[in-house]
Amino acid sequence: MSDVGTLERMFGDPWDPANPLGHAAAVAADEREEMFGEGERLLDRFVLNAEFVPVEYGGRLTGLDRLVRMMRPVWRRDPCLGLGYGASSFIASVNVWTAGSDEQRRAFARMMLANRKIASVYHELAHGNDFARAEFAATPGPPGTLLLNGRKEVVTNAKRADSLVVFARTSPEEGSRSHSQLFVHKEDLPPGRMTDLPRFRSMGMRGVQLGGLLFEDCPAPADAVLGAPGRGMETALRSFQLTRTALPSMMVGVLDTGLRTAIRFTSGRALYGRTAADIPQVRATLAEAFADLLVCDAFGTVAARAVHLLPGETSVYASLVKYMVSKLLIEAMDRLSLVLGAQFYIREGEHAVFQKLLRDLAVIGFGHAARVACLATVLPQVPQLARRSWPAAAEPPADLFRPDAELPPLPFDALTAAASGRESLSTGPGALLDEHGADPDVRRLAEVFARELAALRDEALALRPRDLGVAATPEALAVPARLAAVLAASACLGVWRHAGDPFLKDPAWVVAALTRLTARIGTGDGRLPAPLAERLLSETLTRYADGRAFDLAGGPIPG
Amino acid sequence: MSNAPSTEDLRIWLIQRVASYLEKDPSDISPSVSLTQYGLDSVYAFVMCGDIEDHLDLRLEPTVAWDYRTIDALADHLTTLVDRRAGGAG
Repeated sequence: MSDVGTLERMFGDPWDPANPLGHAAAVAADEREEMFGEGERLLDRFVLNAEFVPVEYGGRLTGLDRLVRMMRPVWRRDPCLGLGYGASSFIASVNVWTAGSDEQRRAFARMMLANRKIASVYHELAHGNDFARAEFAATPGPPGTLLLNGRKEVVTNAKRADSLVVFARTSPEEGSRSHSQLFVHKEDLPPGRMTDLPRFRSMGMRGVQLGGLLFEDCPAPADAVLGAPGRGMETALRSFQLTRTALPSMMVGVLDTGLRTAIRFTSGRALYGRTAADIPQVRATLAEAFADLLVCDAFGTVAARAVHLLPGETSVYASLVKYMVSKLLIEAMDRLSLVLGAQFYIREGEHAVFQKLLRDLAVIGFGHAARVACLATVLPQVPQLARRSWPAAAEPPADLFRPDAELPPLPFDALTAAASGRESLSTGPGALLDEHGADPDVRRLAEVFARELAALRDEALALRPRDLGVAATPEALAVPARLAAVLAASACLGVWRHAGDPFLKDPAWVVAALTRLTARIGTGDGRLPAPLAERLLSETLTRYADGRAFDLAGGPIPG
Repeated sequence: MSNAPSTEDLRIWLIQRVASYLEKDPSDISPSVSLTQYGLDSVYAFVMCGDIEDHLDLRLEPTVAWDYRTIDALADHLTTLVDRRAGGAG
């Protein structure tokens, strides 16, 4: 069996100090700046790599939302495993599934299924947005070869990977048709032409092997290029929509453990004659973290399903998921750290996992610049979206919001570099207002977000072309940032409207989710009224006691 | 469209668009210079693609200006597309 529950059970109770796959062992590996060896061996046994390989190539990748759910047990326990074992090969893989030949795809699949590692070798961690400036070059060499020259730095698994997907300049011309990805096997390279650079150390993700590679007139087979030469920028823009959508959503598992740690801490700690869990401020913080987690999961899940159902629109959703979900997760963890107080930076004992998760989340390339880059990617599309889709677009298909509904295969061919003004998710608030008998609180909040979309439309139409490029002002970048909040609200509304689960079809969570999101558009402070916070907290504590995850699916977890 | 624009019409229209992106005078724009030389990067390519689609009522690949990198090349390509549509419709 290879479902989420099986993987959770194989990992076992993370809080058991004797569990070699538990938090204590993961924290100890982090202290040694090593990958979590027991965890890696478990994932080898599970052949986690199969999750990154489409079914037609012998793997288990059927849907992006399933992949996200499969990865959460890993991220919940150790983000170093999540990235260093899992996601880095996934990042490399999407270039191959999108642009590779059948033969290249088969070779990639064979290596993955044999538990090998493949590194994604871009200039920076693969999601940097300025890789167009990459100087690393692949130029024609002796017949049938390309000569590789240059340095690549801060590359996950650079040293231990058997193969590489390398982003290289293949033409000196300016413009966006001058780069290509090369799928290179280290065993095909002559000795001495590719050398490992010293490992980079980092303040979080300390177990991940961040390396560098230096190529000096290193010949590679000319047929290593993925797709037509010069198409690398487009391949990156199209294929990284999968990773931008999926990675932040996998990290919902990190907030799950963060929230679980905070509950564990507060319920066991007596302050002023009561437990910390009795303090109203603490209760509100826990409830709000749960609401934020649900927002992240709803937006991430809907965007992952959109890759299947609305691939022409996902260039907008993917970047905004990365922006919004990473921001919500980091900020929720920061607030939970206040609940833990002085405990949160202690690197020993059962709460030590929290400080590790906080550091891991902070370094994962979700710093301020990366989030701005995500907004900058969407900004040039905004005036067209306003002209063509706001607020009149047709509603998206209902299956977008039903995590249990079957999906068509991942349509790698249908991904586009830009959405050409087509975007239908933002219809959510308006559609709800057209319904009769909707819950009055949900309705009131839907009106807030429908008004916000109308305001965004006016502002988007007033943007001048020079506002859209590298000189974009903070005011211009606020338009895609606020759009992200509208889309997240739409995703929550959609999941709620189509839910069958008793908790998910109850208005409480969606009212909480949208209330939290009003802070992102400047129409509220995001604080939950006490009765609503208590309702959410009661669900949180019930799930905690029952050993269930805090995400939409709420499946059983050990411990 | 009853009056399909000629290559020259398209060239003049594109020069005006590019001049407006750059906030320059159209006389400062040469149709044979690559758009990236003017600092119009991939971002502007998407903006321009949308403007062309609206102007000609066409659907284009969003990367059309990555492949046709001067105003001259774009005008020629768009003329071909417009003529093909006119031929198909007739």
